[in-house]
Amino acid sequence: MGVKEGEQAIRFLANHPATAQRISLRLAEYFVADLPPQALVDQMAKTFLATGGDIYQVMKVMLSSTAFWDPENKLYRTPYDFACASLRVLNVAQDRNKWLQAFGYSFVAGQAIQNWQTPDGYAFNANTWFTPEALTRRIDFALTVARNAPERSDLYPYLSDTTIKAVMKQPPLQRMGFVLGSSELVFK
Amino acid sequence: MKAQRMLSNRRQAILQTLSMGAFALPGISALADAPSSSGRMVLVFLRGAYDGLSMLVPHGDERYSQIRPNIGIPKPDGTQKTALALDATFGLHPACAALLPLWQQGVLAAIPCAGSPDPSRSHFDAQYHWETGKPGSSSPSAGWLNVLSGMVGNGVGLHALGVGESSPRILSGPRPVQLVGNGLSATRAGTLAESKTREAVLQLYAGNEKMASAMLEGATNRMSTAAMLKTPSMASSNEQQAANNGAGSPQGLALDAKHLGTLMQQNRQLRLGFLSSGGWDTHINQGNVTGLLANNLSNLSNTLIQLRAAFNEPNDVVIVASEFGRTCAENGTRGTDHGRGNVMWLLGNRVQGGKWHGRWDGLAQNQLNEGRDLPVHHDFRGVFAQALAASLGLTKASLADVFPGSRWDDSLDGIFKA
Repeated sequence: MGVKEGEQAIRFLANHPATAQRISLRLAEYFVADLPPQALVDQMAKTFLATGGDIYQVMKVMLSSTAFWDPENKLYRTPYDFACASLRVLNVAQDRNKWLQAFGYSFVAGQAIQNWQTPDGYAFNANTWFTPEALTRRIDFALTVARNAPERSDLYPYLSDTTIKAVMKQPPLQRMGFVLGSSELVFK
Repeated sequence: MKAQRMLSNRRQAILQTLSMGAFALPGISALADAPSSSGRMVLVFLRGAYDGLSMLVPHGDERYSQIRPNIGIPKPDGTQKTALALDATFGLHPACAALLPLWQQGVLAAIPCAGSPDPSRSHFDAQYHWETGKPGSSSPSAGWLNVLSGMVGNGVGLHALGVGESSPRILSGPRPVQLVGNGLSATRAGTLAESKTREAVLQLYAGNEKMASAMLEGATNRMSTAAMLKTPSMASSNEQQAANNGAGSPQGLALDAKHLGTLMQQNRQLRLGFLSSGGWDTHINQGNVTGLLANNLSNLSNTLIQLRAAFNEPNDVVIVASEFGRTCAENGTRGTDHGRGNVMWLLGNRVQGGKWHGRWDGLAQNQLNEGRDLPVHHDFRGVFAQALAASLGLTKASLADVFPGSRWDDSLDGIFKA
């Protein structure tokens, strides 16, 4: 009897409009913007309820929205995100020294891997992570982990003229550090 | 008081402050400008609910050893293998032997049954209540140290400092506060200490005022913090970077405390300090005279000794607290589970030390909350209010601005000397 009641409770919560709002909001905050447009969240929530919680459909709504593609909607990478992105960009995930640096950066930045104690998880909004000192530590990491990295000029078409100009002023083996530290990569 | 958005746009706030454009919240009374308002307050927050009954051991209660057969600390016998007697009721964990002189000097006191009026046993919720100063409320709110920092110096300048944690809720809010990283990272000025590097990055951020000014401000802060922390006394101590998980290990706490002391000594505008550590949630194998908890208590003692050295002016006070306590009886895995009331500690010259304060009803099952936990006889806000009155001159009227809805606990009126 107890188990059945538990299942009933879960079904009740799963079908509740507040649940649809909450899930849609979290997805939109994570993929679109820290303060996503309410209209989009509402549309996603409506889809959630109409499809009985089909996340694929909810995501489709989100990915087809103008808000998702709007270049003004930037997301500031969390330290962990930035660490992973750096390893990918430099193609050094197999290099033990490099991922130790990445691990250390996450720790020092306040996002030690899997170390958040409470069920809400690490925050991922800009207000939490974008502070003056934190930015300088991110730059420290970028310059250190990218030292002597081979240049990836295939990324340059995606960077602004200002960024390219500043990057090209550096000797070739120092350039990737500046690519990583650019606003195009510090945000996403 | 106006509702506050959970903004932590520190860069903007700091630049605002620097250009003397700081706003004042209407209705917030400034602190009384009396001699008693010159002190500083430091809060050491132990995240995870530390086992207060292992630090302040109720050896005088015959039920204690019955309900803690494996994790109990033996009755005092004069050696360091047992509790160190403080009086007929309580003793100190031997790992805290370094604190005994402070107790005997009369600057260290304990309140055995303090806590939150909210019964939540969730670390998440309880810490939120403690840090916003609003037990029972989960709506967005600034940290109470942030609110308080705005009442010091009429809302101009930086008056609160957190060392170790990157973004503690208790310090978050509209007021700018200083946050310094944990351990040795605080002593390193970083790549942007080089002007050549700064110039190059400025070009990278050309036209992006937000990034450029944040970078410059961060670089400047780190250079000045690193300079302040590179004093000879820092260099000669034997600190090691906390290598394990967590931004606040108990070992790292003593180093962070040292940094806090140095920075607050060098900048007298800083009146509020915050430190925290994790590793206290001892559900399994907490040990007794020795073991996991004993090690943590030893590190905590070292931390308090550090803080005593840096904060020993007439009106300075250091407070140690946790979001709730632990069960009085041990559990099936030689640990303890979440409880309610817990021991808060007060350290300072104005403290009526060498004694414990407030209500204590012993460990008889009918005296415990739900037959299992220490009851909460003293709302933590009442304890903080007494401390803030003594060290910062907070008036009872302005108490409502920091802890809305709380009441002055006059049963604690003796914990600070007049």
